[in-house]
Amino acid sequence: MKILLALAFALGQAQPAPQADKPPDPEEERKTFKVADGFEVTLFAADPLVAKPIQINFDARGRLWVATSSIYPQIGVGEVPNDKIVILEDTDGDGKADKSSVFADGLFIPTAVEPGHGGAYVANSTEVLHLEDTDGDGKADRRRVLLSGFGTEDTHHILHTFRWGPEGDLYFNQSIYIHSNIETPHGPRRLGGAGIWRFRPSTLELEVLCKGMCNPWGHTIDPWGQSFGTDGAGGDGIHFLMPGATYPHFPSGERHFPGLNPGQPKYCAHEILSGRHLPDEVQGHLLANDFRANRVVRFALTDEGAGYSSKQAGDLIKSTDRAFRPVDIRMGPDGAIYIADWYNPIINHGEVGFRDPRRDRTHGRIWRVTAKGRPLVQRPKLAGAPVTELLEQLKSPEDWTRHFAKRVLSEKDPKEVLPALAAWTKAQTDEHAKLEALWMHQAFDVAEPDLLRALLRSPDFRARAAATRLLARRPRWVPDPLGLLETQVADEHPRVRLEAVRALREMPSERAVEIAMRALDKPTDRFLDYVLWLTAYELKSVWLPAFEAGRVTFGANRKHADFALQAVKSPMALKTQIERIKAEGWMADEARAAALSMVTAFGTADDLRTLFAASYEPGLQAKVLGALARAARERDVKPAGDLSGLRRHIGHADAGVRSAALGLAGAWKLDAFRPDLAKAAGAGDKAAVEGLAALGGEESLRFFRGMTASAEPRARQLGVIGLAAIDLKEAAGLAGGSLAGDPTELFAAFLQKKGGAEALAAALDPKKVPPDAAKLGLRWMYGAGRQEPALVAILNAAMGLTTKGRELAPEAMRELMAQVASKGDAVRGEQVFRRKDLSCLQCHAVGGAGGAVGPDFISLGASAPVDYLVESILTPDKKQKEGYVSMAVMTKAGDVVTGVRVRESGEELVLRDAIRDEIVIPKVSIEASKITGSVMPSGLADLMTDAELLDLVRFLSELGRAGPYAVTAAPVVRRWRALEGEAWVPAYSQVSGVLPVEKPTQLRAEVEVTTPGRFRLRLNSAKGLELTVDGKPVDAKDEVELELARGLHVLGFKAEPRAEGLRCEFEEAPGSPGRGRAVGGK
Amino acid sequence: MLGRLWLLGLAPLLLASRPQDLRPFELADGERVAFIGNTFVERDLEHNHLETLLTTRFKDRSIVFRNLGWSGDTVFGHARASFGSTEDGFKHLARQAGELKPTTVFLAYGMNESFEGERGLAEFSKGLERLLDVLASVRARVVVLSPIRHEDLGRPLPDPADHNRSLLLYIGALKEAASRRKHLFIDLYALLGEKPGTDNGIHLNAEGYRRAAREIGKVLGLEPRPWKVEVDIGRSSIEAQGTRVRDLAAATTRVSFEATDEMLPGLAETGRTLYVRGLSPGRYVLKIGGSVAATGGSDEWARGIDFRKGGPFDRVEELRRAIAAKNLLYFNYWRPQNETYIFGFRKKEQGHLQPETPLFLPLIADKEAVIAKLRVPEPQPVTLEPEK
Repeated sequence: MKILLALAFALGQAQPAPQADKPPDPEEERKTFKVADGFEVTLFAADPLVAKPIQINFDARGRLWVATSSIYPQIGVGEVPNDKIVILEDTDGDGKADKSSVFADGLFIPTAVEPGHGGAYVANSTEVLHLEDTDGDGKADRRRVLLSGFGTEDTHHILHTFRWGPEGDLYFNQSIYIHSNIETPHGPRRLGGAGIWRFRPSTLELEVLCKGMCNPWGHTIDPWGQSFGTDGAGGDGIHFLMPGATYPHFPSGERHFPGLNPGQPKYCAHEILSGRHLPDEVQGHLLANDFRANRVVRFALTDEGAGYSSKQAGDLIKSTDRAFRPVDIRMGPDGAIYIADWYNPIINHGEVGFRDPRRDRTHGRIWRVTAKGRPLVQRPKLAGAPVTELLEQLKSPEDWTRHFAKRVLSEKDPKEVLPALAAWTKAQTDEHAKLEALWMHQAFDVAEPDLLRALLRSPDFRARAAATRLLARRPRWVPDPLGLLETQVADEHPRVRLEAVRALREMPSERAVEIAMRALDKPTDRFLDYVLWLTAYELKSVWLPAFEAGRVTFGANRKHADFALQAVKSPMALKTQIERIKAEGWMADEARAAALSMVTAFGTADDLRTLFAASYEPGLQAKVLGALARAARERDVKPAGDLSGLRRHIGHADAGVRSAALGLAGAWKLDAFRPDLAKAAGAGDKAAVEGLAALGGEESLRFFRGMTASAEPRARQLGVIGLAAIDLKEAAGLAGGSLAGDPTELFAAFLQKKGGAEALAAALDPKKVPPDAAKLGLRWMYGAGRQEPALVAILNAAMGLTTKGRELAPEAMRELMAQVASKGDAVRGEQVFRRKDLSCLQCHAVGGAGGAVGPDFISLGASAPVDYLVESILTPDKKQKEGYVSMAVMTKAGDVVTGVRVRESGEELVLRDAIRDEIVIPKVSIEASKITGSVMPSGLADLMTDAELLDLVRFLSELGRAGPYAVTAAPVVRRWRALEGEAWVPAYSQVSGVLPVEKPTQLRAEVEVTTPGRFRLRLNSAKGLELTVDGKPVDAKDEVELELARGLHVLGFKAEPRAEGLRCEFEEAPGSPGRGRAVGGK
Repeated sequence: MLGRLWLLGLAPLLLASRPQDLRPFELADGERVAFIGNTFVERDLEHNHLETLLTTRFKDRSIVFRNLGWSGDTVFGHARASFGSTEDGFKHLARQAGELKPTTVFLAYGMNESFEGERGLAEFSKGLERLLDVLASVRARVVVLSPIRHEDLGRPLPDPADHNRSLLLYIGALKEAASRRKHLFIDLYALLGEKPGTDNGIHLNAEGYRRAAREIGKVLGLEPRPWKVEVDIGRSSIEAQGTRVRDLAAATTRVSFEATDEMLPGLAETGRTLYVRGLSPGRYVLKIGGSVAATGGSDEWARGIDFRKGGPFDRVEELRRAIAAKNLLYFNYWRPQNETYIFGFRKKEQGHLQPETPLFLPLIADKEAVIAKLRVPEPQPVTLEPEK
């Protein structure tokens, strides 16, 4: 009984667990749906009509095509692939499918289907197929491989999300682990990592629209041709997809553009709401599937500068049935919303075994959502309709009808369509209708330069933006595309400027880059800033040599040149910057930061000389000296000639400058400064210790030995740290006696050296390590993601803990799961989760607030079975989430660095650990690197009592499920800074949004405003609060209205202990143009 | 035709070192044949005409065929890199060659590389040399297949003129390396001509693969063996070529005998001819192994009828399907889905499925047993009867 209970809990089902002989009743599932007011859900189809639906797409006749797979996730040994494409039909229009037919079988995990050209395009693992029904019997009888070579390294990442674009191109996505190598008659195309492909069936052109996101099972194109994406494994909600952009999690690339809703759960597919059946207030909104938390969520999308802002606007459906897995969503021909429900208690890959019997392989539903009391749209008759009628349908208020009218037209004989299209085009006055006409011409590849020019100057900026994008793809329609783009790049609307900047990248020339930078003459925002950077960066090889040769001058515009130069880190760009520094002194802000990072990366001895000469600029000294030190350590380069000028820095009044100078003296191995280093080291300067260690030799050795004999604990520690750089073993032997106080730096020094952890483990006696020191050592290791079992065992022992057995036998696991259900307490569990010594929040965020080393836990409990949670804590090295590839790097200098890979370019590898957001490692300094297991520490369970473990697991298992730990749409502030002593330390709200306030506290929260306007703070209670905004006192009321400019703003709170804690929401005031959000992250 | 001439051109070179290469290409018992290359090789998984041809030709020998094609691949190993570098992709291929130890390799590269044009040529030659070195280190006999011509299918597909010029440069490099290393070189560009049979210009369709197999077969000296049977009812005589016949029963309205072919028709278009003289006027149906092969009038039969259907043709199709099934199993064995979880850096999660992989091997062996049975022709009843 206990076991059964545990399982029921694990599956989280409202109804009893399904039994093999009694299929789960869709009506029972439907009863679990909490549906938004004004809407209702009915069943369109369920097994046996359809099972395991993965993607759905309608055809022009209103039939629903469904890609299904029972093989997923992994073919059985010797199993003959026989997955199917199913067509569902509602022949009598009563809102229920009454006919199901198999269009094609014998397929191998077909993850996408899009009808077209007499059949359908199908993703078939490594291939894109076109399956055709040539004899009209409803079954495919001709099979053609159109493209092959798509990767299958992970079947929940393989090719998916087929969608027709407005111009007749077929778009499809692949996800992060996939490496595709496709031969086309235009040459091979390769993509390693996630991205969206664009394929033109008539010409077989295949290009990448954009790259990145983790598992982007969502792509829609809005009525004006703008693309949006959702990520089934990322946490940024809706993504605004710009041509050629790179989004988070892509394995390479210098800059990744984030999504519009940081801190959101993962979404699998989305749809844009449109049509007369739906109420006005949801028109143009997006519906996205939070498949993990069994929800369908609405997002309100509004223009924000060149891009958009997106806000969660409530759930359309929320279910307590754990098997409700909305994975695709489409508007239908009748104006209703159709949702494919994969119906499976188990999702995904890693959580449970591929052969786990709990994986459902036989069920599935298609749900239909209608607005109560509103008439449905009459299903348009498009197939077989005359051309003139189809053209009129391009003005339909329903996206569905326009889309399929275009589909039908574009598959007709051009000779039949083009004359009528020309006549229709001339008659149009509406800007959107003209755009549809332009797209029809693009679909037929027939030039329409007059219409293109007219729309480039349309009164509607959305048409101008779409026409600009089309110009990038059809530059030959006009004699001087660059000339037209000169106008577009100076357009009054930022989105048109954005499209122009991207369009210029498609016409790589020296002039194109100069024109692109002119977008800097009007205000920019984060969208424009990104595409400007991207265009300058991507066209580097076109313009930089020309700039060097004096052909590209940016019209002598310093701002344009600076922007472009800082975008491209290259020796040539550095040279220009160095010349500037020589002639005019230091430039400002970002250009300076770029110059310093370039100097570090590839400055020559001459460059370093110039930089050193310019290192006396007040306020810049420490930064410049730091860059010089890195160049010396990482590439062994230093300025030529006399370096005695360093003495001026060593004597500087500012301690920071002094430390930087002492470190540099070591890095440059200047023996002349040994006495200075020794003096500062003796006074406790760690940089000086490192400098002395770098100088090395008998003298340093003797000095450090001396320090280790000091009576002062800090001096002893520094002595050991210095010694460790010269003689690891001797240092390890002395470490045990130097652990008083805060030994974090000492542990770090050993652990960051090759063999350091082993040496320390061999030398430390657990009985002599103070428990507090052990705790701090463990905390550092957890933060840095280091797995050192021997050392962990010693430190645990020092704390009086025993390392627990980690592998649970199935019986013990069942017992533990039962106890989680019966004894675990989520409220207590949240307290455990927030405990400092466990450091959970250092790596994991909940709703976007917390670390980013591991996944956000916002909907963890709704997707991960309890046994998975338990294993993740007890044996974390067995689990690994995509997008969190952890690496261990050994540098040529013998340093060990571990962390999660953030990104990688040709020159740099960037890692992140819980201590540092970005660890930049130049590729040249890497001796070896490897992908390792999880960075999740394996000893966490040792820090908890058994009862605490049960509570923690119970808490995690509740996250994202209906109840107090559900994902809230409220724009609540979750990331805080609390004043402790003199330091502002991170603090995070509880899942409920409340920050506990148990003592008199000073707090800060940051909000970021991207479009200025009026905003509103909503407090749970203003009583006894003092509030400041950017340091200025503001009258604290339960609701406070603020007028805020673009940029970051700091909300300050002074609070007395309050039982209700502090809960603060931040949102745009009604009717305000302002756009902004509370800042999340670590 | 050009291809044959080219081979003849090569002959003096070969003569100097390996005169046996003038004899028809042979696969010995126990050989392991690997097809290595790009999309050309990978998509052949669907067609398998060349393997079928070789299987029927060496019907009494146990030969292992493995398709190691990978779409988009190059001599550098681009497509095999997965999470690693291109260099890792090459190592992957080299390691596999080392493990499989092929005795004969059909190598098909150059299509992807050729898009780089002249500036990529030197690099290609270097990559090719390195790959050939690896194959030499496992002592494989190599047959180098050139890319096909980029077929001009009209606009809006690309005009292939430039690409074809580039292809010829790369084919020249392939030819030069093959000749220097005394490898067989088969110029599919020339052999398949301007209309190689593609749907997209650069990849063969079903018909194209059939033609390619036939042309490769010809160059290898594996031309279709004639199959000819002449029956004279009046004299009650039968003469056969390419098959052993017995039990002739010849009447003027019905002829039957049993035929055991020397080998299966390796390709469906390998024509066979039956002459029957002395039939009563009328139309007659030829059945072989119970399956209709041809129908014709008595005078047509007297002149001889070419046919491409009937029992042996059914059998060779069955054989080709068995080969396809075997190759699909091997594909799922060496390129398993979810490799990341089963063998890669997430193997801690699903690595417990690793033991499943070797379980493919007995299934592959089972299919190979089926192939071994199918490739040997069985005695077939042949009947010629009046059409009903």
